[in-house]
Amino acid sequence: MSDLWWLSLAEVALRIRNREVSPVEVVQTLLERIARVDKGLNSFLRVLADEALVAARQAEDALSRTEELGLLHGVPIAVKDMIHVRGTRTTCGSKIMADFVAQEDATVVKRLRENGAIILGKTNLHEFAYGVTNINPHYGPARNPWDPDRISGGSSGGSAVAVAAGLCYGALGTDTGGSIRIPAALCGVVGLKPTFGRVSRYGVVPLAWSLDHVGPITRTVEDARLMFQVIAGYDPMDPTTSKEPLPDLRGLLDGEIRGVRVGVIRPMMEDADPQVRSLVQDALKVLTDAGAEVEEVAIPSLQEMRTAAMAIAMPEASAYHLRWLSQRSLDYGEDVRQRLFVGALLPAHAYLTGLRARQWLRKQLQEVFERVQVLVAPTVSAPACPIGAQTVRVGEEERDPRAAYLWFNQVFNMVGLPSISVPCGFVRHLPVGMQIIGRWFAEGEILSVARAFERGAIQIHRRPPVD
Amino acid sequence: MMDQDLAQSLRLEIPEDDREVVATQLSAILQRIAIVEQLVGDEEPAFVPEIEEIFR
Repeated sequence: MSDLWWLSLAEVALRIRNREVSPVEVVQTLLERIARVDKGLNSFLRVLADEALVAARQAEDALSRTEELGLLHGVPIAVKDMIHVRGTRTTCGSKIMADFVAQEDATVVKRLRENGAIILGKTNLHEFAYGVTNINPHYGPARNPWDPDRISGGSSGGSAVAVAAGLCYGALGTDTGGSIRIPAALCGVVGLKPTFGRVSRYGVVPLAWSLDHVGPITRTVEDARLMFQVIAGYDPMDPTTSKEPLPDLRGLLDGEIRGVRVGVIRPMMEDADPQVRSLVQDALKVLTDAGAEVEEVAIPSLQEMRTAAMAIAMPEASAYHLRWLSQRSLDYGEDVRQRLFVGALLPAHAYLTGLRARQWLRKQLQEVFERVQVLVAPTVSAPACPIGAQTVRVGEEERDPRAAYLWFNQVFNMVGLPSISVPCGFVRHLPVGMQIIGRWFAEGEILSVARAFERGAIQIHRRPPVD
Repeated sequence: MMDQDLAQSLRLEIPEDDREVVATQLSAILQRIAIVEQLVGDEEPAFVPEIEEIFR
């Protein structure tokens, strides 16, 4: 079957279930494609070819025995190299953990396997997930499939590239300040950061304990829904997971959003590049045509809340890394090392100010969510910059890439709101994304709005020039 | 701006080439945090994003 790799996750799962294609054929096709395409993209740090083929044969046997099949039976999935896969290395894209071999699966990996998924490999990332460019000094950059001279975004860059380039059907990422949504936006795919506590982080190397989230990166909203449904839920191994019941989200993706109240975050729209803003405005027309009621909302002091998010993230990250920072600081890349030093030197009151701001912002957002059901903003203020660029152009300004890509995202990690980035068009040849943010535990609402946009939009359905 | 004593008490050896960058970043973020501090008034800290749901 030609172009098997471009099928959606839902479609390939259906064809496997209907025995129209075998898991072995699917895995072999992807392994050949990775060998052909990924040299120029560097999305995988390790391809688990032998293990994946063994799992594919087992999946094929299960099909012939007509056993009860999981939702992702026989579907190859990639995993960010921050997440443990039993018996393989979790390097975190670092020299420091280069030889660390995981003794057990992370809960999310376990749940993927229990639902029949095949783990295809470990994907590239910004070192220790502490950056947004995915320029990795130890393993090389993950390259943007729309233009390999440009960044993929990060930190889950390898996962987004692998999905965008048709090297897997879905991937796991982690998101502490935008690390799922930013690379998803810059590579033209869907990235879902669930509510804090919705998805277990057991077996995931932390960046910042109170900000880290795990979620899927996929090519369609329905695929994100499928992966989310599989990995979400209470985990006794992770005390921060919630017992909030997980609804069946299947029926929510019919694109029906008539009467849904959408709040557009004015300060973020105003701060995006005019071409990005224009694409999000076009996307809002699609939502209006589908029956949504769109209004502007002004959440106060968002720039200050971005600072507060950093005041939380930096000391948490440095606390985790302190033992290595004191003994092996030169084994870190320069940017991560310097950031870790700054976090280690921040006084306790700075951290507590961040935590107090979290409560302040939460109250502001609760008020906003009394008026609207979901919020919308650009995911990034500009498309992907060239690898090595010191600045990124946003309108007439040159900005630090970290600021340009992070700030529309970080504040939602701080309060743990669910958020999804969907591709909303192209600036020249480069994709950008629109972010839909929901109330706590309302993943169904943001998936529903995202699906309605996906159905109504025209120019987002393109493939990168990687064949 | 950078507190060398604090760094040493944490047994951190900041490489010479990093010191200026670290000091500049630290100074900048502390100034910005001071503005946040004025904004948050009497709020108490929230240690995780969604406390009630997690610990109920």
